Amino acid sequence: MPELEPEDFVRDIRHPLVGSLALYCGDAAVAEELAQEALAKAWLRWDKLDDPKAWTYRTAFNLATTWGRRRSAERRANRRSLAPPAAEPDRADVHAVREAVAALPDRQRAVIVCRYFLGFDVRGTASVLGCAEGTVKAATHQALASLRRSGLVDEPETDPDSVEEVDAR
Amino acid sequence: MSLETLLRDAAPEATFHPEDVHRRVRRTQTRRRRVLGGGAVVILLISGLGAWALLQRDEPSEVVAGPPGDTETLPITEEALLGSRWVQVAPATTAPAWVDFDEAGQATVGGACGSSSGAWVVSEGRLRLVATPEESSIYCDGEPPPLSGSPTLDVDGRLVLDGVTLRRLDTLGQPATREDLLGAWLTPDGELEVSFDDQIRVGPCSFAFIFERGRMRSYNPACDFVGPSATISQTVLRGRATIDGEDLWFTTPYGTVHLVRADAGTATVDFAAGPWVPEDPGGLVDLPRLVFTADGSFRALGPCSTWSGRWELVGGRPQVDVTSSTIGYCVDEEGGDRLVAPVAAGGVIDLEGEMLVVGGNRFRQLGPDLAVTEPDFLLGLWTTDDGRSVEFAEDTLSIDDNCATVGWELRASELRYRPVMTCLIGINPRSSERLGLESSVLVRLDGDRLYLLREGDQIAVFHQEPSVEGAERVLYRAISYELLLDPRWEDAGDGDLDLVGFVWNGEVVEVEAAPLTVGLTEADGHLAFCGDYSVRVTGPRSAADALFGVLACEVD
Repeated sequence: MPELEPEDFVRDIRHPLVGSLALYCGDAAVAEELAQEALAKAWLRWDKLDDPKAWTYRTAFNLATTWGRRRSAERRANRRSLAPPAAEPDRADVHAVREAVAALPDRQRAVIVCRYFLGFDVRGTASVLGCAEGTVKAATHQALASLRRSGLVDEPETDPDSVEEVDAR
Repeated sequence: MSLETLLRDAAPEATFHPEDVHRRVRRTQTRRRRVLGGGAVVILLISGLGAWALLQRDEPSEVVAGPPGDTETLPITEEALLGSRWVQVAPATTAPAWVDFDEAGQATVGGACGSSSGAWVVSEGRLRLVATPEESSIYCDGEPPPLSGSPTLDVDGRLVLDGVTLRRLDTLGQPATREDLLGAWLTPDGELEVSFDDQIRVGPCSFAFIFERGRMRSYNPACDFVGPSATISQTVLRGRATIDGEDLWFTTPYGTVHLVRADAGTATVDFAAGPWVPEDPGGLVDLPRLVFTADGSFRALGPCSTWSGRWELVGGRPQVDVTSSTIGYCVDEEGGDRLVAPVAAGGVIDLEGEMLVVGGNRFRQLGPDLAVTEPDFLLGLWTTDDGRSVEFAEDTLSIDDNCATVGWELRASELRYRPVMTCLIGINPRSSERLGLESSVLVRLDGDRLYLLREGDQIAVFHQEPSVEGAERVLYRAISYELLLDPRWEDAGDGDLDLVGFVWNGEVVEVEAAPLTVGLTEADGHLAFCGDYSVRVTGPRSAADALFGVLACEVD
């Protein structure tokens, strides 16, 4: 059972959780909603969680992935029946970053967010995403290559385990 | 500028607070109760099963959020505690713990070897126990159970303290008659046999006895018992008897003993007939399991670790000798390893009725009686708490929303399907990789729990629980890329809407929505409705109606 109380856990994790989800799904409002949903699920099973942080991030990413698939279907339906969603009032550079990240495949996007926003190492990222460490390294490499092609990252990464050595434009 | 800085600048902060999440938790708990028992909830099962019965349960007058976790608790009142002894029912044990609450505010707790006293007070629906260490009596080597803390009272009337579950003795059964007692009984650990005929025999000793008005009177109840056996024999020989089927309790002011019918609790279980899993998954998704095979080998599989060795039947219970283990590391074991880890010590595993008890946790058998024989029973969407899913449709099996395979069949409770080599592995590959690349798994079905068993791996358990979210998900599935392309709504008249589109091979698919209960809503940007509908393929392939989904519609 976690030593923290769930209230304290929510207080500690809410900002990075919302931030990572916003980067992952590209929508701040949706990130707020998904973060609360994941945190509520964690709260409901608090006594059974050995690592609530990893569990919450993984559940949140799962929810975001499901939401992404729903949205792609909804978009097609919305074209016929609903008005287009209003554009977010964010800055252009923020949009550029979000768009570049959003263009990555699911797993690469999750890896980038875990490692370069949340600061997890390879092992921690593998734990959160439920995959092998080698998968994390490969996805990191592929994601950085894509971000480099999109112009977000200028210099080639030298060590897939290093967070600090990756520079962006 | 580093990538981390760019991402930090692009990421917003949360605008909600812990209180907002807590409110959502409360709403979820309330909704679960309403879905399970509220009269305002209509549950429709749309499948070949036909209508699912409305679930009705006695609603408590009030439900409050207990400590974090899935268990709902009731406010505790003094009246609920007084008037009967409380007796430990789980984990099952020969000399269960017991608690007496008296009106003067004193509580006495006892166990196999003694008792201790303390104070009890109920305030704002919560019970608080405070031990008084000097007021204890020790009869043998051992300690009475601790008497301190804040027990909770669950909706089934069970008091839970430090992992020990107690119930009121007067709700456990009824006073026994002499005829009820006749025959052989065993303590749950199988250590001591007690039989009644013209005499009472406790272990190797015999006594004359009179049993009237539910109470035992025996003559010269002395024998060479020592330790806990002395307490057990004294309690049986002088106690009041309460019976409930195969369970018998004797109580005196100083002790409680639990007996089970000798022919009920032993040697009636075929241990090799199927794996054993935690009785209450308690939110676990990847269940550990205990496997006894007919050749005498034994395995305990946790989410991360495994233990293996030999087993044999000793006194109707399996005795395990663990000879090797593989201790793994994973941060998300969620207690699964811990549940089976006690088997590493070896020895005889307790049997409570048809449940195995390992480290205080009850395990049930997924035996042949839970085999799935009708494919229709699987149709629908099955989900886990952490976002995984499997969905059985008429022709397709979808895993985690990532993989879909065409064609599946059920043969002697074994699910066979084509491996999904091209599935889109998402960020959570556990179900996709475990199931998607297999060609068959064993299936067990128990109510709303679906167990998928893979050789050499633990069990994934999915739930088909009615939820409002389920209604939305069914619709999303209907308009997802896997089922429909370019969907459009068409007014079918009479208030009905049809969802029309194309499947991947160009066939026309039409979703017929029956009269909508709630209606189409665009309030939150999602398309959602609640009602009875089906998907019909109207193209060249004459498939039968594909039915899916469990809907729960709040009609108030």
